[in-house]
Amino acid sequence: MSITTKATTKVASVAIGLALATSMLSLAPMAHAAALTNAQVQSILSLLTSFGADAATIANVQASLTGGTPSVPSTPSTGGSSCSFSRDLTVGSTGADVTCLQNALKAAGYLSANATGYFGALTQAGVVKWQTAAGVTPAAGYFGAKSRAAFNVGGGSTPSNPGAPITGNGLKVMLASDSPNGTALVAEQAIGELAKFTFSNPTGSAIRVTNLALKRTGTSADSTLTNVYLYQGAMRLTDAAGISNSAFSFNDASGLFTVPAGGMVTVSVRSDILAGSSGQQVGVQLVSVASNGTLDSSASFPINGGLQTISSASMGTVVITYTGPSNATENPGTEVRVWEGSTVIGTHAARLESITFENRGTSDDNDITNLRLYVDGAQVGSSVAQLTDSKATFDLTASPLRMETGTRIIKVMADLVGGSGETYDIQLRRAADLRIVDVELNQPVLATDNDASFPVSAGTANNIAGATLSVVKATNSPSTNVSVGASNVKWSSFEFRAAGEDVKIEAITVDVDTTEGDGMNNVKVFVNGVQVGSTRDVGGENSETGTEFTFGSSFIAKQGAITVVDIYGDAKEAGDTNYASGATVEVGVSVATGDTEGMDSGDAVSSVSEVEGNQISMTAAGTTLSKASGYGNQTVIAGTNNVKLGSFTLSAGSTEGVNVNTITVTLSSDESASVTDLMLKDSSTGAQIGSTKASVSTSNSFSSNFTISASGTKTIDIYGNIKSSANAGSWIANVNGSGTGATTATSVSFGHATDSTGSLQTITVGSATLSVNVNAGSTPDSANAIAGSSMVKVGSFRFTSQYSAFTIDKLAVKIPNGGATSVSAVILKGNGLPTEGVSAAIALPSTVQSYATATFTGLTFAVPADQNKDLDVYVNIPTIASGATSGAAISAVLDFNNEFSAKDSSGTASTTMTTSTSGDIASNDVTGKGTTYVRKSIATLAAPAAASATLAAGTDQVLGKFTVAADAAGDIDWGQVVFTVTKTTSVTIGDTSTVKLYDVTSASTQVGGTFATSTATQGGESFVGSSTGGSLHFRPTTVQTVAAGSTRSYELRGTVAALASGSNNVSVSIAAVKTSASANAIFSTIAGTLGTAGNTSFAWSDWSDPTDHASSATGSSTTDWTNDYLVKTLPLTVGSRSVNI
Amino acid sequence: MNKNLIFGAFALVLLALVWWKFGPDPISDFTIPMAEGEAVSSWNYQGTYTGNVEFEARAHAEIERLEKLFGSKEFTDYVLYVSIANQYGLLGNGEKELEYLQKALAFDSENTGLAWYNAGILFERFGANKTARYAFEHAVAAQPIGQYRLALVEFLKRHYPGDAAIAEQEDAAGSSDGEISY
Repeated sequence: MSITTKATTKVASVAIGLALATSMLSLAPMAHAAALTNAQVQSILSLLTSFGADAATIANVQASLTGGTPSVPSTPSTGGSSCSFSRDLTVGSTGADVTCLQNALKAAGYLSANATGYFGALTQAGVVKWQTAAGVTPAAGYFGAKSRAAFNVGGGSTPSNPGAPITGNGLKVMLASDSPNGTALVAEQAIGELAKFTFSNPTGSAIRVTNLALKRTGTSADSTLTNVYLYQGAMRLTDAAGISNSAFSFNDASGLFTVPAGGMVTVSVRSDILAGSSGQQVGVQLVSVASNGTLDSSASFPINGGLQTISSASMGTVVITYTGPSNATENPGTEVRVWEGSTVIGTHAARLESITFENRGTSDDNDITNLRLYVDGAQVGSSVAQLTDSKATFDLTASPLRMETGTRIIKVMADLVGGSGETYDIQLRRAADLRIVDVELNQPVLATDNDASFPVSAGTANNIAGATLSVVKATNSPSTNVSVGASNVKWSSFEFRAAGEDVKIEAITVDVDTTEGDGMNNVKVFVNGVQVGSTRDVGGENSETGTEFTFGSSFIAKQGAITVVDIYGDAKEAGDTNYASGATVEVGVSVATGDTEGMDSGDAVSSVSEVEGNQISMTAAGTTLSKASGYGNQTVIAGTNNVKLGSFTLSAGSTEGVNVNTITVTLSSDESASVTDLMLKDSSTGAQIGSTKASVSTSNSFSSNFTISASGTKTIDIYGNIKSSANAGSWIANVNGSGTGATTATSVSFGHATDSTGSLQTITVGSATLSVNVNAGSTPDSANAIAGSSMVKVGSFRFTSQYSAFTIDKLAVKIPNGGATSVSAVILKGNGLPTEGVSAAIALPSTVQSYATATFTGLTFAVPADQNKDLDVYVNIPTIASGATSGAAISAVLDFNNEFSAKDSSGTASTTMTTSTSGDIASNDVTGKGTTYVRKSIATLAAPAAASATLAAGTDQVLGKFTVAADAAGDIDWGQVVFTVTKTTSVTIGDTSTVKLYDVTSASTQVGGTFATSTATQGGESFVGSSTGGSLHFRPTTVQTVAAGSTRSYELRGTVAALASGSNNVSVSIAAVKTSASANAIFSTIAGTLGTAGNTSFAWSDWSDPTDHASSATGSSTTDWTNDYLVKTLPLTVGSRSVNI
Repeated sequence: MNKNLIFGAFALVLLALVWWKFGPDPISDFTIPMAEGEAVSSWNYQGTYTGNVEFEARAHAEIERLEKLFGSKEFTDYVLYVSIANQYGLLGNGEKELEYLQKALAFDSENTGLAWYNAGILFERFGANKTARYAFEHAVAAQPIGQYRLALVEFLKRHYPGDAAIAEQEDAAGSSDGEISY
């Protein structure tokens, strides 16, 4: 057996023993028990407590020992669970009610088995035992009506669940489900919760409960409950009840509380706890209930509450000092401070849960309204509409206010709406009216009055002065403009407040102040939406006296209520003349003392000086014109049709819509002479307004018939055709017009025929131009191209339009004479042209011309207005076999004024394009770009990696390696190469006579030839140690031929010596590259004199003069040599070796 | 002379003639593979000379003249094939143009870029851009000269702009290895 099981068994044994003891006590009334001393009784009860006996058991034992009647004669307890028996139970019954009964019997010791929900032999035997003990006869084990009644007497029932149907035949009473049990109270606390009882009323009539008889229970004394009260929620229902011999009661013949028909009320018994009572237990039993209704047959008394234990602790303190008004006289009105207390929270922070005030003055409940509770200036909780039974309770239970220790100002503000001549005296009557809970002990603190004993209140009641009447302009009093001539306009609105008592207002004076005119026509006074008095004019030019409107007894301002007074009238003078536009109107009211009477006192109230409404302006119906925001100044070209010449927006005023009848477009003489077919269109719908003016004059009136609603707008566009003959310059239309107010038919006008208020956008009539420039970014760098290449890009041209879109339909591309025979086709590509471009053949002139031309017709190359458009020019180059010339330089030239045609958006054709030079534009106008050199074959140089990058001394050291590749289109010859040598100063590479070039294509064979240098510091013979390098020219004895499609490899070798300590390096490149092409020429022309500075670094031939070349490559007739310009991949580093010693 | 020998020799000569006439042309064996998903249904297009009788006649005459130059040693066969292809290009006959370009490539597809380059132009014309790219890249690989590199970069700009930027950077950096690694 485990320790836990052992403990459980012990507890069960004690419980059964206690239950049996209780049963025995109940079966044998102890007539002599009264002879026990209180100390003896307390010892017994303490022993029971130590055994863990429940509160009910202890209460019963105490009752027996003290001569009372045990409330539960061996009644099984459900332990707080709800057993609802609505049927007879016997052997064979099953269900939750059986389970509940079994649990109760077991708890009481009549049943040892666990609950099963089946009423069997064991349950029957248990019931027999209980019936025997309870005196239910016959004790047959049948749980019927008698048993149910006896069971309920023992407290076996619990209150109905809230929301569940309330049934029965009269007022039911039961212990509330949340009635405290075993709560730890604190000695000297306030209003400790002792018990809660729930009353439910199943009848159709409210039941007033007039008396509750209760009894103190537990190991306490009567004095323990220093003040015991009855509460309903936060509201204290009674004063403290006196206790005698444990008994006390609450009585009120008019009703302690009322249980509504079909409703339920729970009341609480709370008590201040005596100081020094720690260790006691205290509880309450409800002994009897009296009401004006009938108790339900199920009602059985006493009903025992649980026992609470009183402990000892250092409670917080709350000390209140009244700081509110005393013997003051307050005018009726709002925002009156009716109570204030400086409250000192001590020891522990406290939680304000509720506070109840009571008016002990002579004023009525409805005289004091809108009560609000403030703590330290901040309102807490909800407002209380008005006093009820002189009381106002602020219940903060749902959201208590934590107050830290220190001084807190608690204040009550209210509206004194009535009670003139009466008094008010708001009091915190008792400590029990303040539920302020110690946040650490969680029990209410017993507050004290710093000045004296409770109540916390004024020394002398305060007085409520005579009635008052106040008038203020309503926050929603009209302020918007009013149309001229409008009728039945609400001009102002006021709020009348009577306080102290209802006030009859027999007349008010309405005053109309206007900046122009005299009074107002047809004025009416409305009280709470109903006209009172007669309609009449308010007159008097510049009069401030106004006009009195009388009401007899039809206007009574109720105390504490807002009475709304509205003043209506026509927007006209008293003489029926419209107020002028721009005039302002103010309508105010005043009340004379003689026109008032307090309905209770009969006294007049103080007069109310004039209160003005808002100043309201008169506005005529109007329309304004403005340039349409979405349309800016424009530039158009002469000859363009259907041009939007302007756009404007008409905006109607807010007071009424406008019927627009006429719109006039005004132009200068020059402007009108430039335009035809002027028309107006609704910008949003495109609908034409009025008729088209085919012939335009300086003033063009269009009839219109449309309405712009109040605050509405309409945008209108002006269109026309710009004559081809229109002069360049600016063009601005002016617009004005007229109409009538849609409601008042008053005339309106807008815009202006001459000044800027009617001026629209500036339309500039300009000359459209189409200019062209080389597009340097897209034009290729000048380059060699293999003869036979298709689609070689030569140039790119950028067309730029101004003021108009253009479409180019005809264009001529010229190829300079030297390159023309090397072009078989010219192709144009550009956005808008076919993807593959459009091509044209070159037309070679029959006579010697500077150019050959490719003419393109039928183009649709569009350049949008004020945008760029690029046109790329490509050429097809035939092979040398088909007539191309090696060395031919091909560039593209756009002919600016021949074979050119473009149309602008007006359809005007142009045969000249604008260029920066006012002449042709060529692809090679940009230096270094736009020329393609035709080659039969191409030499391509490369630098393979050296076998070793480490420089070493010795003969035949490889200083550089390079290859020469020939295009498959033909053989390549080369006849000269110039190396540029850089080196550290100490290193020498030998005399030019010792430097050698080897052909290492297949075997290593020295290439016969001559080295020379153009670097003077080398003395023409050696790269001395003091130099940092120089040039090294080599010309082979026989030109080197690289067969078509093949590559030859070469090495430059020298005698490296004089390596010094530190860094040593030698770098060789073919670097001195020409920056311009040479025309094909004989070898000596291209190569120059050997060793001359400025010689081409690589002289080569593409065998484009094959016959002469075959005869003598370097002969005087062989003109197929060229320089190194554009040879790939020059400049080229061919060697770099170094060593660090 | 033995009649049998004579007859045998005659038979061998006859067989050689038949083989020469009808046997496979080794030069035309090279074929540029079309990229997956690409096909050209018609190779005809509007050439520069298409529809111009005078120019068309000129092109045909040129083709005839070029055909006669094979073996003349004045021009390489490679150049002659490209020359004829170009004439077909002027006529708008893409099929023959490609045929002769491939003949040139059969002659040299590794060291010379011209036929590759012209083939790239042709394939791009027909929208076979993957194949065109293949051709342009081979032109640059064979000869990394500016003309081919520029053509490749511009082609990529038109059809593969993401790759064009990389190729352009490498081109600007002066890569000379013939490979553009984009």
